[in-house]
Amino acid sequence: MPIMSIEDFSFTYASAPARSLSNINLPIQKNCITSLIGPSGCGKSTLLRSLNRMHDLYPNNEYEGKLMLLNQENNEMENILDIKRENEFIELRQRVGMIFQKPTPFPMSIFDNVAYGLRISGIKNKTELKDRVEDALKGSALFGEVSDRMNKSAMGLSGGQQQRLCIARAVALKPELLLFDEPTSALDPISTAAIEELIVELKKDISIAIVTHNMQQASRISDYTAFMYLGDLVEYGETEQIFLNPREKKTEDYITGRFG
Amino acid sequence: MLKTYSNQLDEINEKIVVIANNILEANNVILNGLVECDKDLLDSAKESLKNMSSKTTEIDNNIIKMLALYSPEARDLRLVVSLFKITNELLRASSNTRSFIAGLSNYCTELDTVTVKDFAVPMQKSTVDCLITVVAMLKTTCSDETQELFNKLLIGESKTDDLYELLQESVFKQAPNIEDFGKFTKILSALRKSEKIADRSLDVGTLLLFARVGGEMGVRE
Repeated sequence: MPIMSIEDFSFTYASAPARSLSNINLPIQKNCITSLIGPSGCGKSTLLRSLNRMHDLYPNNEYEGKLMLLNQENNEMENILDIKRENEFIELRQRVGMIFQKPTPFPMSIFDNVAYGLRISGIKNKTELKDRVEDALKGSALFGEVSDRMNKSAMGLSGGQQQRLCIARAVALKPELLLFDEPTSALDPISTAAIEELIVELKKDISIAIVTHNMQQASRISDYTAFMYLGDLVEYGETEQIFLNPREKKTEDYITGRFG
Repeated sequence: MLKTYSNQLDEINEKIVVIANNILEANNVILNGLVECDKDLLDSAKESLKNMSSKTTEIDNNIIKMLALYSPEARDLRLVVSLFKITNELLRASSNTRSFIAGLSNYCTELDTVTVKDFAVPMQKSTVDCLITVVAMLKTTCSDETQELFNKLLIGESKTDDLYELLQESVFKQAPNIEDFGKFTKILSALRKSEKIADRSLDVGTLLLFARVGGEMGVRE
């Protein structure tokens, strides 16, 4: 069952003369990892950022089609493109979190980094805050490494730890869908392995969409893979099928390194 | 290493151990059949060798998926490639075991005691020892133990070769006195399969040595 259904979706940047995404139809399956792969400029990050309306931070970008997000309370799909009010955007971004390529810890303590979103969402009770922060850090496989320095600055953590802290910050809000935009491209192999292991663990509770340039990463961790090219979705399927028997020649040429 | 990857690798290894154990079991029954000169017992050895081809094909497909999805490197790559080739060796060992049973089944009551007691039984015993060593090699991940077991395997396979040569010499010496020599060549050909099974065991051992210890594939140290 999809947590999100992308239907006939097109997107045009305000500054661009033509569509950056054309008629995309793609499900993001619940409790699965969906990878978006494709050469630079194919629109995968644009698509990912559409899924929690990040493009609305800049004016006059144009969405068409539908981005249907499952409301897990009533089991109905709701079009997030209908969202207009500021508080609805905040709620959407709590439900659909995002992790960026470069770790973005706030210049504050480790505890406050994770508690930040929780406080914004109205949690003031200290005990509840402490529990939720600890749970998020444990869920992000970071608690053991930082439990004795929760009040120290997050800027002192290594790159891999900072990225896991950002994941903890997103996880603390108990999102339904987590979007990862090349989350390991700035990390060394050990930190990359830790993040990949974490992403695989997270999918038990959270659905995940990930943009990656690393073919091996997509094949290793994702259940479904979508290949995009020049703003079009060329092929979508189970990762095993895409990497073993792609239907489209363009997909095969890309994953075998013949172009891109 | 991702847990999903290491779990899948363990699963493949376990399936290969099961196949190797099936071949070992069949060869143990053959050994008892030879000792007892019992045709029914020999024929019953086939029971353990059912669906070998489909089992190894299933493993091969799992390995292909693993190569496609996880891009193993270094010792992981050596292990996955070795397992891919090991399934083929085990399938050949299984096929040799079947031929052994089929070739010997019709003549087992006619084998003279000298041939059986002095050569065929010890040879098959040595082959069984080789298979036991292979199963142990499949189960260990320690490189020192792998090397140690491989050395044992080398000795076992060489012993099987020597016993087959002695058996051949013995039969040829008796040739002028044997009426139906054609029958004896068939028996010899069947017993040769035991030696072939030991050869396949050594091939599996060589691949496991490559996987666990390193070096180049097929080069025995």
